[in-house]
Amino acid sequence: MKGILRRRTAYCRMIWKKGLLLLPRFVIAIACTAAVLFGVVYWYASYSQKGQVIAKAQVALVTAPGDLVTRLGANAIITIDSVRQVCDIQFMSEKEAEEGIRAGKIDAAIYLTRDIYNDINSGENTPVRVQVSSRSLAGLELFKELLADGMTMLQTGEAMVYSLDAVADDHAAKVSVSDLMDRFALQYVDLAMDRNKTWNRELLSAYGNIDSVQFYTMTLILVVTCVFFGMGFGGLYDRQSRTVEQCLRRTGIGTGTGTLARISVITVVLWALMALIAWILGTYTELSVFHPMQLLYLAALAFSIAGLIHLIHSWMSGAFGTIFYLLIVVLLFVSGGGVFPPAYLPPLIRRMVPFLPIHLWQQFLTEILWGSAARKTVVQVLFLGAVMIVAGSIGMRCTEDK
Amino acid sequence: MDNSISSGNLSVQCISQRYGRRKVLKDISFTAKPGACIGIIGINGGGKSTLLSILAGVRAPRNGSISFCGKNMLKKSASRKLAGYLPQGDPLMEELTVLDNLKLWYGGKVQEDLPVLQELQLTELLHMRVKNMSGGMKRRLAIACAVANDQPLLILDEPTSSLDLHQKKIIQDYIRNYTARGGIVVLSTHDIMEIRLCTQLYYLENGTTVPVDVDEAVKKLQEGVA
Repeated sequence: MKGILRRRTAYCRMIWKKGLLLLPRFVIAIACTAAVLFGVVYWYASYSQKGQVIAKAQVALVTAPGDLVTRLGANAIITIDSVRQVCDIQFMSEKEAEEGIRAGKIDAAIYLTRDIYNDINSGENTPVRVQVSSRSLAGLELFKELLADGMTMLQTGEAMVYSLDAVADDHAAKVSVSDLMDRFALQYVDLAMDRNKTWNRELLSAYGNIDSVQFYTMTLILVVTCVFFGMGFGGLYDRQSRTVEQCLRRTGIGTGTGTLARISVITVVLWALMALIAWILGTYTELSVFHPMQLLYLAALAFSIAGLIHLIHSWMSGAFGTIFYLLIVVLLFVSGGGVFPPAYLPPLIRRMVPFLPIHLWQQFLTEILWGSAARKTVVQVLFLGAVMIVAGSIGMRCTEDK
Repeated sequence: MDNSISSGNLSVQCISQRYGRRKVLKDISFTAKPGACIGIIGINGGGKSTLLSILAGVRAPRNGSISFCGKNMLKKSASRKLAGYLPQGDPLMEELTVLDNLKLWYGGKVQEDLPVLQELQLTELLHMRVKNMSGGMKRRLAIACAVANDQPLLILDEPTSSLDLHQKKIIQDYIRNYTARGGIVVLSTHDIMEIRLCTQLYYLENGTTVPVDVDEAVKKLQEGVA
């Protein structure tokens, strides 16, 4: 009994050693893949920039000559950050703007009439002429949306002021439209300047209750752990290792020991890796993973992912197994909302998403990194891992040489 | 130093095995005394490896019994204690060193001056990675791993196939010494030099064993039916 225990310990130690020896090989592979990916993304970004696919829209703002009040008001709007992020607005003459649009140098032009400020004040609906280029640019689309939003906001503000004016008339109150507009403008500016208190508290997007940066942070962590390292760990399940195990079985080392040794290596490596990635990202964002419970939960997630790696490699080992693993994981990622948010997936696939491991892991990772992990999710993740490990171990026995 | 191997009689009785409907082994029986070297010859796919794996306790037979030194070898504890086994594929972890692999089979502790390491000329190779070794070196290491517990019965599945003469000689010398010390070796082979080492030879044909002498065995090899 003592001898078997000693041999089991020696076996676990050797699997650990083998796992750690495999590490540099796939770290290099990951570095190369990352370099290629970075190169492709960089090339596409520079191509997009040169091709102005996602460039800011160039907008001309035309005011009547000498209309300083309108120009001053417009100037206040075009210096707002959110406006500047979407378009570059320049003051131009009517002729320059029209020529610019024809020459393709300008994407849109807004023509403001003389004293439009007074027209707004007096409630006169003076139309504003807007010319838009026929070029299809993402930036231009954003500009159009911004313009429509601005108009809606202006109309809402006007409606509010005039309704208050009407109410004041009904109650014979002495209040001028101009006073109301000033008060409204002050209130609006006050709210707009302090908008962080108003917005971003409850985020609900196509990504769920996370934003795009959080979504792709999780995707990065899961892709590196599941795809790259998952493929690399195939080395622990190669034919040679299985031959060793078959022979060792008669010395008291069974599938259980083999599974335990492998799962422990994979879990610890993945756990360390996830913590490292989260820590690196945390230095650039507000993410923090230094809480002991967060690290513990990351270990639970690593265990669950180790289950998937074990399951697939146990049933199919060698080069064919690695390709099969890659196919399965990519399929799981794409259909499980790992690359595109579930809201963007076809309805049939969207219905499957809640049952796929990637979705559960994403949900768990969100809870770990940007919230608090619910006990139910922890249990689900551990249960999923355990089920896959058992299924994988059955696979190891079934695929042994007959 | 007394390095004799404490052994006993080996008795194999009516071993049968089938894969699906195909009967691979039919009532195989033989006995061997300490110091015997039993050779199993036959065509590829004839059931030699199956028979050896059953003797080693890796597979269970459908019928039959195996006893060695008075112990039921179909029990894992007995086969583990009494039989060393070398399958056709080397059961070695390629990424690790010779010493690591020995530690794996010897349960953690390995004395670098073990006689088996000297006999198989492995003492100089202890820190070499297995993946950098030649086929013959790997085979020698696999034999050293197989006899980790000083087992008195050594089962070798084609121990020298595709090795050069120098490597073959080292392994055959080891087998000769092992039997000379009282151990029993059961091996499968297609090699004339190994056939000449054997004290008993069996030709495995259609799932049954036929005792043959050295000349008959060599003739079968030359005819390409073994």
